[in-house]
Amino acid sequence: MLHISHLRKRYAHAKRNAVDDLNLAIESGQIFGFLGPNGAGKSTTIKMLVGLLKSDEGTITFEGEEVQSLAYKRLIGYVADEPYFYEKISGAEHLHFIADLYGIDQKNREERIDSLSRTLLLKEKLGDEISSYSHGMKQKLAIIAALLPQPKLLVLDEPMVGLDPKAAYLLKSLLGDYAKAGNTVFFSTHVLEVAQSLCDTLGIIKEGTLLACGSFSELRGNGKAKDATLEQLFLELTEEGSAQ
Amino acid sequence: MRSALVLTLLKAYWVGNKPVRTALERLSFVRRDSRKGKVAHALMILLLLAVFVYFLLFLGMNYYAYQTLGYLLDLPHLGLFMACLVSFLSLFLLSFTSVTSLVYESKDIALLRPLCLEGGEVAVSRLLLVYAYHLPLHLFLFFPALVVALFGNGFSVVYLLGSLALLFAFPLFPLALSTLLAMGLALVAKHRRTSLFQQVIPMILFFVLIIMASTTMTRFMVDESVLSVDYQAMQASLGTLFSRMESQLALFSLAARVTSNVGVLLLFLLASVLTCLAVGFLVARSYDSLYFAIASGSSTHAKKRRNNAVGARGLHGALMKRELIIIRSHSAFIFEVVGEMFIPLVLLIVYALTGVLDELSKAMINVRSFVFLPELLFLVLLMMASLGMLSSTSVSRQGKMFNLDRLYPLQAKHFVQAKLALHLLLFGLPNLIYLIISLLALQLSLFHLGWMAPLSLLSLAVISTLHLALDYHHPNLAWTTAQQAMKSNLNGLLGMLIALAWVVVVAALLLLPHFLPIPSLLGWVLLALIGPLALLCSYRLAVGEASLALTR
Repeated sequence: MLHISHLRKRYAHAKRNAVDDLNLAIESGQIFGFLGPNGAGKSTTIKMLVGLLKSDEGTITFEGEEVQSLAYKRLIGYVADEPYFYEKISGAEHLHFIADLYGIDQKNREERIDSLSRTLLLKEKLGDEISSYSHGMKQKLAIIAALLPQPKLLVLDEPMVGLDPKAAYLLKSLLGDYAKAGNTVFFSTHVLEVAQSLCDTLGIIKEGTLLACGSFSELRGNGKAKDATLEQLFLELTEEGSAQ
Repeated sequence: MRSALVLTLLKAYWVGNKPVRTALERLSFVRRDSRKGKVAHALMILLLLAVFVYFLLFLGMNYYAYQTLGYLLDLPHLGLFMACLVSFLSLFLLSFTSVTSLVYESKDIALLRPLCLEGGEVAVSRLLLVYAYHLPLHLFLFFPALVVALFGNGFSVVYLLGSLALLFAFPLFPLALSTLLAMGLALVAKHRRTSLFQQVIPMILFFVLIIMASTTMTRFMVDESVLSVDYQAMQASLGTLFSRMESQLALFSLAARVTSNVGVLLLFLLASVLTCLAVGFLVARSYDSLYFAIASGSSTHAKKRRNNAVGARGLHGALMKRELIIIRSHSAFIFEVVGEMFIPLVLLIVYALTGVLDELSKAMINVRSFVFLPELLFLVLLMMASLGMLSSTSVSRQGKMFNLDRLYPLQAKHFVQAKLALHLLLFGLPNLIYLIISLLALQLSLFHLGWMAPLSLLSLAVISTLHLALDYHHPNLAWTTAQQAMKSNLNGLLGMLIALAWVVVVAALLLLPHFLPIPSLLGWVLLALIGPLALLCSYRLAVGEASLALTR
């Protein structure tokens, strides 16, 4: 279980908190969609979740392990919104570098690289230098690299950006299968249709504060919003947030 | 600490960025698979090798002079002592500008942080990178001193081991100091901008160091020859200073004696290991907290700007403003502009500090009698105003944003005109001011401005347009650090060669009539013909290259 408790973060010289008293509990095997307008605090939360930023207050634990610990890092995989690579090596070399860091033996790494790269249609390009990759290809490589150590929690920041329709479809199926195997997915997106169709739980954040959290049906409730689409709900919640 | 992982990180960075291959690729101006390209590439490498060898010899000759002076002063290791001093200051100042970005802010840290790595492992791999990046400069500065020491003391096993220790262990000291200071600055600054302290001031000090070193090294040469040195004058002028420095700068005195004394060698190695361990331990232990402190400070919080930052300026005004914004975006660019604008002032201060100014004042009594003094003055100031790399890296500085220029509905000439106008504003105007001040100081008639001002602006315009043509022809747009766009950009070096060539042409036309039986009017007529013609041709070339670059 991923447990985020009273998480707070304020950047230096900023007037308000980027993330303010965020509490989340996500069960294993779930896909959690993190939604919010630009500058809402999604990426800051994700960066704290993967150890790129430190919270000012609050705790993050996954399966009892605290964020920043080596045991925690072994359990997570991360795909950044703009993945960084050493550009002068090939995709295959990058994956072997990751496998080296996680101590994955030769047989296992080759099997996994082969299987994941076939699934995401990158097999033929793995021998090319990363500097020649398109944004979508880099995104695929980052996803393969994140899944290679078989993490229990996969964190993705805007993973659909730059992917062609087929790759986006393949990624959605991959995430679905991955969660069905008992793993957890935490991802941010602006594509509400994807969030609606894929996620078990949704969280909507604005100005660092969590406005709503629950399954799609829970968010709709039984009142006048029971037939609303996620887009309508999102707009309604974030507009209300603005009004407040 | 898993040392195998540290090595894997180091290897990944090196193989993944291929700094040497990338630098060599930048030497090629045309496609290297063509015959012309191969020849140009080979010539470029030969030229750089020649420059490299020249500076090695120059350093060697100077260390030899210090070594000989050392024998006169009873300081037999003075050559190595000076090499230690020069290398220490150079490495310290240069590494201080880059250590924070390499250890804590480099883009690949975002890739590494979420992986199953301890902060200490990342920290140690980054420290090894800092060492690897600065070792070549140390080897270059230090190797000639070891050769000189070999001539002086002869070969022995202690010399061999001591030399290896000095070549590979000595850089640990300046790098350790710069790392500790950078850590201290990050702690003290608490998210405030530190680029003035960490980028601009060290670069200015490094610049001053180069001028002071070259001034000290050349002022005792007899007949401008590096082979003949006036040791008596050197002893009288610098003897006390060197004796005091030798007794007070213990680290350098110790290091200088490493090649001749086993006990000192062991002590030096012990000090190196202890320094290495202490700094490695401190950086590794504090890595996570300092990383987070720096990451939190460098976030994209809203920065308010004054309202006058926006407003209608017209086409050329907007492009010039854009150029200034690019310059202001990196301290390395700001330093270059400020440095180039104030070179005469910096020289004046350095010469005053090193005592050269007194000698110059005495020499001026003779110089005043020269009939060609105004021409000489003009050429010296023109040289200072034109030997820069601002216009020859102007396009490169735009980096990936250059693509925007391809989208704007503008002609190539608009970009060239704006860049040229800004260049004249930044350097033409100060040059005129320096000319006026110099004319007044030397009690020369201000009527000389009648030819100096137009010739100065014309010359700077010719040089600037040639620089722009060069940079539009082969821009370095794929840089990740500002240094790559400017200091490490070969266009800057070639641009300075172009400027030098133009100054030589102007000098020939201005001065030759004073030495050869040619009427001085001929020189002026030729200048009046060649100058505008050269400007027209260079402008057309720049616009042509810009058109090609914008449609490529």
